Formats: sequence, structure tokens, C-alpha cells
Amino acid sequence: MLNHSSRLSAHHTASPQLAHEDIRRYSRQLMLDCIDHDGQLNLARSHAVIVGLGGLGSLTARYLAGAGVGNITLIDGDTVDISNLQRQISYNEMHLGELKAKSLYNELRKVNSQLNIKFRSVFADSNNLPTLISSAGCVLDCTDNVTIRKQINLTTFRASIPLFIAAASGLTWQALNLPQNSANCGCYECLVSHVAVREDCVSQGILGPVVGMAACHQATQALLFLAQGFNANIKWGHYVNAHAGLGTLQSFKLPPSSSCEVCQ
Amino acid sequence: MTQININVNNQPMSVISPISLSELIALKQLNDEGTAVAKNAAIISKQEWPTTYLSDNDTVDIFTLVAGG
Repeated sequence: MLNHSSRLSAHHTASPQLAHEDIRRYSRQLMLDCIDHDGQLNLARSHAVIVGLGGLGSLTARYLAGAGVGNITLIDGDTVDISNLQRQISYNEMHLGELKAKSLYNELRKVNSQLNIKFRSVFADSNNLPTLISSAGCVLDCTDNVTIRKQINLTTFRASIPLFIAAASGLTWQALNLPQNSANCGCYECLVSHVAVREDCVSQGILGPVVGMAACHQATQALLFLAQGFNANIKWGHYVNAHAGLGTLQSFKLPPSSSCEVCQ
Repeated sequence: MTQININVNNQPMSVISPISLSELIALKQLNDEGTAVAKNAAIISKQEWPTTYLSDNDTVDIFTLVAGG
């Protein structure tokens, strides 16, 4: 079977067109000006790397696959635990003990068999990240601790690869889009340098839908970017802070910090 | 020394100028663990809190960074 990208070009090599079945599959989003025909073709050609396949990554991956992102790389070395099922909705009891990356790969293949999906059952670190993200059109940081988030920020900045960050804890979710090539925009290091950030869901607790809201925001931002590139109507370098209980959402500009060791 | 009116997390507050972000955090007896601060809707990195001073009618938002996923 041809994969998504080659199936598009096989029909019309001079001017690629969507196949009839793709028009049916993606009909609801093709109606949107922010996607339309050309954006859908861009999605099919794009490559998103998702680091971390927990509450954030398992859901963002599902949305990207559903929307037709042609090349998706799933990265996580963890296995599915029963405590994950409360919020990591792509997994179920059949997956307990399995590697998340392989389980999610199998589930996404059922959603959209046309895509080129790869998985790596490894924990991302400073050594393997440069290779893991080297061909990415964008990276989605779906991890759960500051140490690896800093490494992802550093690696994407050095490679000038746009980075979509989301995080959640308790009833709070937060997000940040970073172009990683702009002098006007800070980076994750500017935000967290010298700050002791509360680490993860294990110590702080999390309500399932709250991390889902973060993932939905993150997937939306990434899809709009992958469809329209830097012409997409999304905000770069603004930190979103939302409280799911109160229904409030704030957005703050993140300027570069003059003392940042990554972006300055 | 003059009194200035600022807004902190949507609450009006009067403080004596000059006052830096670090001094405001201390004045409010806030734990700075995981704390981020935005002045007039722009985040100020923690290293710059001691040298960032507030003016009359400034808006300050103080919130906690999270990293879970």
C-alpha cells in the first residue's frame, strides 16, 4: 500500500490533488479556511515528532493521525500502567504492561492506515534527541518533567525546529508555541531558568480532562502550523495559563531573557 | 518615596515606590517555588525580578508553572 504522501503524488505528479477517499475522510476540516485543500496536502507531507506518550502525547498523536499528518514519530520508553488509564485515553486494560510507543502505534494504525507512523520505545535524552528530531517539521513536547523539557528546548533551538509545549497539573494547564528561530521570542529556558517547577502528575495530581484540554490546545496549534506554516494564525512566544475549574485563560508574552544560556 | 497603585492578580494594591518584583513577592509572602511573574502581560525571567521596578498602574500576574503531562 502506498503511504499518504506517495498516494497523493501518484495521482497528479505535476499538481498534487487529494484522492477522492481523502476528500471524504477529511471533509469536515477541508471546509475550514485554515486547512482547505492546500493545507491538507501540507499535513500529508509534514512530519511531527511527539516526545512523551502519556496524557498529552497519547491524545495529540490521536488528533494528528486523525487529521492526516503524513509522518508521525512517537517517542516514549515507558509502559502502560493501570494508573495511566484515568487520563491517557488512547490506552485500555488490554495494553497494561505494554510499551506505550508500540501500543499507541498499533492504535493509530487502526485510525489511519495510510500514514507513515514510526515509534521509538526509548526515553528521550540529550544524547538521542538530536537524531530523534532531525527530520521533524515540528516537535511536540508532551513530557512530564523540567529536565527533559529543557533538553527538548535546547535541541529544537539548535536545530531551528518549531516546538509546541503543553503541560498540566491539578486543574491547571499551560502551553507555549516556540518558533525557535526568532530574536523577538524567548524560549523555555527563559521561562524556567532558576525556577523550581513542580515536577509531575505523580506528586501533584491531575484530573483527566485537564491534561486533555492541554493536549487539545497543543494539537490544534500544531495542526494549524503544519497546514499553513508560519502563515498560520497562531500566537508564537505567548505563554498560556488556564484554570480548568474556573474556566479562565491568560496569555502572556515571553520575551527573550538577556541572560538565557540557550537563546541568547 | 511615593505611593503607587498597582494591580496584582486582578486585585488593586497600593505599595511604596520604588519596589521591585522580588520585593513585591516577599511583601506578599509568596513562595517563589515554581512561580512565574508577568508585568503588564509580559513574563519577566526570575533573574530580572530584583532589577524590575514597578510603576503606577502596572499590572502584575503571579502564577505557578506546571510541567506534568
